[in-house]
Amino acid sequence: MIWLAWRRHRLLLLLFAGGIAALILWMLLEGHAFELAQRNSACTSAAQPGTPPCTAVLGRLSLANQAFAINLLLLLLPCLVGVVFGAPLVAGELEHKTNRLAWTQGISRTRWFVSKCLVVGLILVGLAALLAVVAQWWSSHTFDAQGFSLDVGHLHLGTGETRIGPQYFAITGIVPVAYTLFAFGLGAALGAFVRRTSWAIVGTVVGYTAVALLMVLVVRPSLVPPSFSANQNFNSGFSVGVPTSAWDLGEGFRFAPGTHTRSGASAGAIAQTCQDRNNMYAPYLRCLVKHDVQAGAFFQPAKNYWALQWREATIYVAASIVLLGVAYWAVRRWRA
Amino acid sequence: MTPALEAIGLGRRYGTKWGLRDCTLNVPAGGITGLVGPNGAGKSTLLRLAAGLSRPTTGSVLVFGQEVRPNGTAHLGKLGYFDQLRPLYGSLRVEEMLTVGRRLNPAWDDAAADAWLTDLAIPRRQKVGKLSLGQQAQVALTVCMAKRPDLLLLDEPVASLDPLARRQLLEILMGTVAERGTTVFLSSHIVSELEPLCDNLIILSASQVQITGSIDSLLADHRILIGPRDGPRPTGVEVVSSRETGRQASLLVRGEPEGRLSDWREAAPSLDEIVLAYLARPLHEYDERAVPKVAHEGDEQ
Repeated sequence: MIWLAWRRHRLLLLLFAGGIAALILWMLLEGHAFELAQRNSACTSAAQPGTPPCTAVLGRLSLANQAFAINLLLLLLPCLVGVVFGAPLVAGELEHKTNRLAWTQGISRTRWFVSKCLVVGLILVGLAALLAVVAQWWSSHTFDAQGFSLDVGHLHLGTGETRIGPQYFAITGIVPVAYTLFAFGLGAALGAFVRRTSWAIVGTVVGYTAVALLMVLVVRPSLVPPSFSANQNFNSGFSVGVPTSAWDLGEGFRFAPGTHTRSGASAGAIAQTCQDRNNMYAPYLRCLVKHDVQAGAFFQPAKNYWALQWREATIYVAASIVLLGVAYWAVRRWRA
Repeated sequence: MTPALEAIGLGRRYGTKWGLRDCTLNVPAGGITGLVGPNGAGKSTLLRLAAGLSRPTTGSVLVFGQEVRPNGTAHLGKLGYFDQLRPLYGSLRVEEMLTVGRRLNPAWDDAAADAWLTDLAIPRRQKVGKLSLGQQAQVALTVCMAKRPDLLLLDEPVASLDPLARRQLLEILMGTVAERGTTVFLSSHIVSELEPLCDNLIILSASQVQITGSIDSLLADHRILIGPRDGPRPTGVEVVSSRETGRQASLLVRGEPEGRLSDWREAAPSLDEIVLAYLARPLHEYDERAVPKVAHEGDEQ
């Protein structure tokens, strides 16, 4: 069955591997260009960003602002896996009725499903892992380039994005592998249930995007308790005191340490009440102080990067296992 | 003798519609049994249930005395299943299709598969999807038979094939059955297709067995009686269908009429006529307890 699973999917898998190889090559070239630029003292000196030697180095490989394109590709890749490999895994055979052929040979549906998942799933997870390793190296030379965020002519190098920021977090570390597995499982489960590849594809795109947004907007900010930078001087903005290497979660309120148990209301609700009652700045501030509420900014410091990576990857892998279980249940349960 | 296939109160519902309902029948082991009935009678549903591709809503189906369970593997080695749509992996070459069979079936007969493909002159390197419909059917049948099943389930095996492909397919089939003693249960909605092929016949209409028996005994047990429309009618027979034209009545009956009525004459019906007579019977006349039974070929008498 392993032979059949490989034979049936090898063309797409090889094409996909070829695409990933091209992407890796692109990242290596671009990362190398950045590396050269960084080593060049003329470029890293903030006073001389436009000097001829630096421009020459960068001009050699003018891939610099393609970082965004690569980033986007890496973000979309797991979803693509779900669409190309997950959705048709079961639904494709149901549509062509080839499952009727497979399920009346000498092997059980269980072996049929497990073999397909193992062969296709393991190859995809392996490719995703390889890509994540390269992405880690690549991004350490682009986004994360320390002290290298300056304008060289029309090229804006270094986005100011940090390792733990959403754009970068999702393409490095171990989460890309977990995302890939999840998208694969989501596509397979939807395909086994709706029995139509086209609908499974739509469902995979919508479902994957919804989960990704939910994760970055709601779950990840507090997956590890965030740090807080208290700042009573609103005039200078809330994010004062948030390190540049951190993921800024924006304005927020909390009770001064040790005082939060006093009332049932949340710090945010009290702050809102204070604001509603006082339209002047000074009384508003006094109201906050009176209720032991601190204003400031929440943020995830860079040191939480791996803790967040592991927790988020665990959630996605657990969800993938559930989804593949659902697909397996549908395969066993349903008519051919 | 254990029947090759036994359905007991078998039913399968798709949503609110029954594909097959309360079907009870036996397919005797050995020989070729034809399943004939109009479209929608539940033939394909019955075969899919027997192959373990579908889960019965009610009742059960047994293959050589063993219940078929959709996730079980016990029945898989005994069964060969040929789907109406003849699904094959179109992107595989013919020889790779055989590799699939070899790898998935413990009792795979490589030499026989090879010989059949040679006889049929099917190019091994050709992609299965690029073969003609007839050749695809032949490859599908080859895969079914090379796994050496004891019971071969064929759903409309020769439908939409040209006469030559049809003959080639049936030749392989008949050869193997004769050689290996495989039981074959095949469905069709064309009686003339089945008559030269089958030993036994099961007539299915709206999930219900109208009559079952060997073709010889079906032919021997039925007669057409033609006589005057008015006046005494033959007794001691079951009238399957009657047609009245002018002053004449024509009855298709089962059994031997008692005594003799001088103005009635007898004729032998064709199998076609018998089948059509049963299929044309209004369904409300059907009584479950009165399923006519005729001896099967190979039954101990």
